[in-house]
Amino acid sequence: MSNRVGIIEYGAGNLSSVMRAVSLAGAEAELISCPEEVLKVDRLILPGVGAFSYCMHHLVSRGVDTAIQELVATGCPVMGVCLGMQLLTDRSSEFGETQGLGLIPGSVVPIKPEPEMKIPHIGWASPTLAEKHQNTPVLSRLSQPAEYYFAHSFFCDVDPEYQAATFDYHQKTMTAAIARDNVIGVQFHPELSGQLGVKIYQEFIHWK
Amino acid sequence: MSEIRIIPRLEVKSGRLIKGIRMEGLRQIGHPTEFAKSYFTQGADEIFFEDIVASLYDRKFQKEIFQKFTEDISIPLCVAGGIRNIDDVYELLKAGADKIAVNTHGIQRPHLITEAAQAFGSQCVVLQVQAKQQPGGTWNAYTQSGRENTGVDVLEWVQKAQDLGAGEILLVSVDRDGLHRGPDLELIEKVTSRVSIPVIAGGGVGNIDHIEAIIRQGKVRAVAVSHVLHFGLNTIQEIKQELSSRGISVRENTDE
Repeated sequence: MSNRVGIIEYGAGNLSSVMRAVSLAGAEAELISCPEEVLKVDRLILPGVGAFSYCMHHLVSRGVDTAIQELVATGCPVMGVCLGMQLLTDRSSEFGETQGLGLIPGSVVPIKPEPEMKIPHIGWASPTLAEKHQNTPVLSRLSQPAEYYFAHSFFCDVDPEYQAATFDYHQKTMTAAIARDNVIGVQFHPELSGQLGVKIYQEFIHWK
Repeated sequence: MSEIRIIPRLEVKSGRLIKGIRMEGLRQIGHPTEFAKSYFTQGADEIFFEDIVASLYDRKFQKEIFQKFTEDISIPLCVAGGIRNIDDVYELLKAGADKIAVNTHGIQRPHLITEAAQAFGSQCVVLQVQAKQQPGGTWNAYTQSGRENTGVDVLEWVQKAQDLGAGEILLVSVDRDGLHRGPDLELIEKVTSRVSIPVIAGGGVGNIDHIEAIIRQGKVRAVAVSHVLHFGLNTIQEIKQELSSRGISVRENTDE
């Protein structure tokens, strides 16, 4: 059985750590930048690099956005990482309002500063899995307490139904992971989170 | 709350790991790849690499050397040394870096910080600061491994770099570096209270007490450590266990 793992390329930024993690997880990934290629994969990763508006523009101008939406409609597993997760929602206010892929209802908003809070949030935090997502594929791993690496200034404000995991930063609870059917997203970077992060990719590769 | 990050700082010259005193009088320690892998398995939260003579000899970071470091290491890697434009940044990112740090060329051409942040995101752009105290008590930013006084005030520079788009600051005291007699806490506290972006502080760490002081008095959540680790005074596990027993939350090692 074929298991083609695609990684969306936005034309800039760092994909080598995602490629490395997928390879450590036991699969070979291919970089994808046109709609025809999107529809040929068995699973798709939207990595997280750069700015929301820049990446969305890149996808829309090549018709990759509609290809991703079509792929999702076929039930194919899709995982967004960091910015890639944010792209799954309806919109973001980063550098002006930009429409997202609209695959999971919600929006991307800036972390509100508080005294002594450092933004971007850069560092390791431990996500808490939501009760109703205990059996969500891949993300169910987050039931085991463990830290993952975060680096972001924005976060996803989603309907509680799709909020699969949260984490705390300065007494503020924010979204760590989202999920809706065959689409999942993580705010942290599994590819930069050591062995545990590689296991997230492993489970994603074997999902479905 | 995020855990405290312990970040080994590896200074590399001609493919060898080195360590100087006040960034001079360099001693060779060994092969950087072996040290990096060992720190990764010990539970380093991130690794910082610097080609310390790249700017001095006016050449780019030796990408081939760095590429070898990145194999098998799945934690964030930050690279510094002679980065002058976003093509250099992109090269390093392709070679496996997750962030880059600028010093010399950021001071010469501050817009470099904005260009890199716009292209790759602020979380990718670290401002490296080599700070040296001046007779009046203030600190100036230095380049060329602490040799060249730029005349730029550190506190003004970090604020400006933040406004330009830097996502993080790696602050090292040139006066203290390599002496392992303790960090410049006053400098660290002043820098971290001046900016709203995260600060990684180092320079002068000789034991776990110094690390604790940087965290508690310097009010930072990330510490750059070189001497203590390179000379085997403590492992990262030992540092983390001790910090944890003193009530400081750290990431548990999961990569053994």
